[in-house]
Amino acid sequence: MSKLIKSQGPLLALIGLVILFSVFTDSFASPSNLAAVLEAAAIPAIVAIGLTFILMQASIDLSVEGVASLANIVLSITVANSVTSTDIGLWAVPLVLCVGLVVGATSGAVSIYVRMPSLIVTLGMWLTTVGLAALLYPDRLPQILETRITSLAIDKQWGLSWIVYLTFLLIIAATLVEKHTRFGRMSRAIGENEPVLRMSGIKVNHHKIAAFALAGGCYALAGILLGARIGVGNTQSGVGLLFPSIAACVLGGTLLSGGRGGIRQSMIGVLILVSLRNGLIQIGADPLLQSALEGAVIIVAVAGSTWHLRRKIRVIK
Amino acid sequence: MTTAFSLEGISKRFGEVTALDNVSLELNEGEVLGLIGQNGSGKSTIMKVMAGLHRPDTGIIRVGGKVVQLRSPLEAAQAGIGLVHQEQSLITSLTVAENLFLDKPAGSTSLGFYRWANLRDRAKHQLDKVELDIDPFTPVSELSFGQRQIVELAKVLSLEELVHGHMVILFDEPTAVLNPPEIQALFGQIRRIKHRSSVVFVSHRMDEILEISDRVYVMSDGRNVATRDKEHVNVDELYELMVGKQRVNRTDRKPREAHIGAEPALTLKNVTVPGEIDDISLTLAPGEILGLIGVQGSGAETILRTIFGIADEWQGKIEYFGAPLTIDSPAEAVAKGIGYLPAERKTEGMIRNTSVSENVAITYGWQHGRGAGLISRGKERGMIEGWVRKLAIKTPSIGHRIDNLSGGNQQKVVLSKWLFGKTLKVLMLDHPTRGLDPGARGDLFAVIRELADQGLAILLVGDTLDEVLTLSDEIIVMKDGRVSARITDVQAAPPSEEELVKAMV
Amino acid sequence: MENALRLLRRNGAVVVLILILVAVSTAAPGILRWRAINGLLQDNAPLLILIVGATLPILLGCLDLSIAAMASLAAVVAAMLSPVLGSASVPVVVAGAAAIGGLQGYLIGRLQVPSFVISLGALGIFKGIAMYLTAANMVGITPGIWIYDLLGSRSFGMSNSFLLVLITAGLFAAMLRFTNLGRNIYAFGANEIAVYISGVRRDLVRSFAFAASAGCAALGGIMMISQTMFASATVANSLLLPALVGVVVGGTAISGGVGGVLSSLIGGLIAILIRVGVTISGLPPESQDVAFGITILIAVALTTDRAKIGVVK
Repeated sequence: MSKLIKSQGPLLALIGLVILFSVFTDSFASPSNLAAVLEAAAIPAIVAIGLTFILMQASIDLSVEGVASLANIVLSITVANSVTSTDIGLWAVPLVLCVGLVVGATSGAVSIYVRMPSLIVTLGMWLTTVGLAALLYPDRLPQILETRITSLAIDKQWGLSWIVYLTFLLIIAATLVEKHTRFGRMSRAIGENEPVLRMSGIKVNHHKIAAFALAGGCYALAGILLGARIGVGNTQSGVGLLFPSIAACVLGGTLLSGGRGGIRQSMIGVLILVSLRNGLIQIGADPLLQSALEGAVIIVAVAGSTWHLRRKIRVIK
Repeated sequence: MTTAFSLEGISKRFGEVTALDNVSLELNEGEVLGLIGQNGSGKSTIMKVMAGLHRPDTGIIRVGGKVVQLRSPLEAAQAGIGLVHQEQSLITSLTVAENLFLDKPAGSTSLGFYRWANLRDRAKHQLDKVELDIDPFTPVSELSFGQRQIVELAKVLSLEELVHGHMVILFDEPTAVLNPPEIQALFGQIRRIKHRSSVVFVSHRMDEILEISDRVYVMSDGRNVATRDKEHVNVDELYELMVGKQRVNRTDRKPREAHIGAEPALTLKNVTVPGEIDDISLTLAPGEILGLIGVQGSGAETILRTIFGIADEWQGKIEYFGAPLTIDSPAEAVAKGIGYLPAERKTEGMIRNTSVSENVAITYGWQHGRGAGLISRGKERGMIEGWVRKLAIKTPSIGHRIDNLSGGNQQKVVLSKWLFGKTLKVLMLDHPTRGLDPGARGDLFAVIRELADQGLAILLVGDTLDEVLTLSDEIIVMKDGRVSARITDVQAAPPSEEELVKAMV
Repeated sequence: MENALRLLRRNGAVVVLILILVAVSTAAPGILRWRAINGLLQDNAPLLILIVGATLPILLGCLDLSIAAMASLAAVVAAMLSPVLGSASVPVVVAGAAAIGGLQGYLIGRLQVPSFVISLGALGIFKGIAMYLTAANMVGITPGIWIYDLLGSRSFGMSNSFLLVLITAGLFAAMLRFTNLGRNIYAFGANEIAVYISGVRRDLVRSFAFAASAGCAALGGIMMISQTMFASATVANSLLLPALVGVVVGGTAISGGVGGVLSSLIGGLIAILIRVGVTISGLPPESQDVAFGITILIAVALTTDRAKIGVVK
């Protein structure tokens, strides 16, 4: 029993939350609200997928918001829009994804070859991409006129938008990568014991750069889907993605110290966080307190998940 | 008998310390060679040379008669040499099968995706060889330590499909974490693989060496002092050989003039740290030097760290000048007058990238300050220079970075931090002379003696026999976390080195 | 080469500051006029005080990401308290912020959670509380309160806020140089474990550093409202990254143990000049983020002692 709680704690917490909110509010368990929970979870889930591989490798990436905003702007000015005359149609999607991949790979490569902590490199990258997004922003707010993009958010199938279905697909693909590819398996191993892998001749550097590139791609996709949802290009569109995604990964059991967790755990974390937000609003908590709640959740989650690692002789920076 | 592997005239130095001094070793086909020696005798270094982890400064390595260079573990593996690690090198979040082929990825993936069925078959084949009946897809984290050790062995044995000819398998203290049935299972495996490989087996425990080896190879002070066939082993002779050159020059042991206090400074009653030390009791009086000795992992260091408030959990009772000692951090220990010189000088002792003077003044500098937390660098300077002279610390100036000093001088700087204050009553020294040259050792010995003569109570974990024999008033020998021998009055009735070694291994 | 690099590491910030100053003043000579400089320093006093405070956790090798959010929260609380407490609202808010910062530092050790996680969480908490208190509106400050007027005005021709920055920086620099606490802070950054085993109360050292950082942040928030007379829940939030850029560009290594408050101040001036440079060069103001991002990368690459990092994470 205690083993079950230890290994499946986050899942049990999610189930507990859902039951709690369903009992105490009439609205939480309604189909339309559950659909809203899934819609709200979709984009953070995509970001969390990218972050998960990085966190498993014991690195971190703070550039989420910048990359997503940049992607959103690049998309909005390269598809049919109300401001610029450029229109490359759906080619904008692979273009934007490439931007994300390149930014991510750059972060990874700088961190590894210049030997700087990923925390700092991605902090710099966060600023750089925020600035690039602002530089690329045209004079007026670009409305995205490409309906094949906006319909992703508008068209609903069985009550859910294409964004949610796309997220499901991505979760399945990422799970396959995590469980069955050398990259996925080695990512967790790198976080657990990098020196042994290096001694065994594993190309650790390649796996690390790949993780950052993949994550950059995920943030870019998030930027595209944000564009679909809000229908415009906005330099602030990615703001607010970073903290919930990191919190979600940690909540689910993907520790910042690396070597643990995975896609499934991170997705449970996303659902916990989104349900908590949604449920608290249903109960009547002030939405303005939302970020305070998330902040507290981050601290409690990290402290709780690493409590057993506490030692007096331990460097905590 | 054919020689499978040989070392000829291997030497290896680390800075000031000679780890291997012109060592030769021959390993016959199908034989188990038991390697025995004290801490620091060079047995770990010789294993690392054979496994390609260290490159020797001089000497030749031959495999099957041919001279080879072993520049990395990978090259050693290609020559048919595999090391079964002491500290486990398995990745616990991966499955057994993945671990087995971690360093030999060829053929296990296609287009980046694992070919699980293929991996399972190959892993099953390797596990069958060592008769380990587990699912190859079990995560290593779910295995016992004994099973993990067998998986390590299987990982090394999977070499044989890659190399033609004879193999050399090295075991570096594989039994340290195993229980008796697991040790027997491991021995079974070693006997089974003898027909196609030679084995070098290192252990701290004499009984294990005698049980499994065909020949015993004794090391002392970085040299091979004897090789004995199993039939001609005399256990007492082995102990004597292990002591080797370290035999204390009896004239070194000057009679102590100190008046040893009647009331104990420190009393331990039934102190236990789960998994490390078990039911330790001892007393230490002002002016006394109590020497603890034991092989690595015997728990001697844990005693010091428990008293200093670093142990995460412990049971039992510690009394300090008659009152119960309840401390939870080094800061509290220091406030009470207890000091600790850690064994790990680089990570725990010295504050790197910082000057000699800051290293000395970090603990007690405030005692010489102007009050209100203000420090007086002028006053400190004079005192620090005094200690530098007294301990003969070779440094261009006290503003010099500690990193640039030699190991012995670094150690003296770290020691002077404890001598800098006015309130120290108990000083605990954890391997104070580790890695120092003979000259620096002699200097430190003299300082330690003088400190005790001035009334400090000293608890010492020795690196070598001569250290504890030369310095101590009382000696406690530790083995597997327990006290295995006590010599209460060293001055009156000095024990023989053999007696101590027997209690240690 | 080795020596040149070390020299650059030690004095690089000053050299860079001079170069940028020359470049900027050649492009726009007007910038060197006293009025312009004074205005610049007054506007940027909040940023500079944040930089001074943020230096202390970084000297330990920690990171306080909550400073900007703390500055906003302090601005909001000070504005709300000002009608009741008047001038006393300033010491009350600063002391409260320092206490909260000290708690953060204590929690890092007690929970053994990395500082950037604790302060990231704190960032969210402060932001949420500030939003809640203001209901996402602006809060005006009661006019005519002595201390706010003082901070917003000048003496000896110099902005009082900037004078306060100088005084604070001087006090911290003296503390670092002349007290036992200062010695422990540097040693902590160089080798936390050795300092712990030397008997230093590392929890106290950490609490002090985070208390100083939060206290300075609160002072920064108060300086902001003394200029604008309004507070909002996000008034100072954009200061986090420039503040970190300032500390790091000044030469305080993110790995701890190297640097100081005065170097950070120079780094802060560089950050300000980069901003000015971007403006006068006619580039869109947004490119200052790009400039900051790239500067932080180069500065860290030059100042971090990478031999200390075994496994890059």
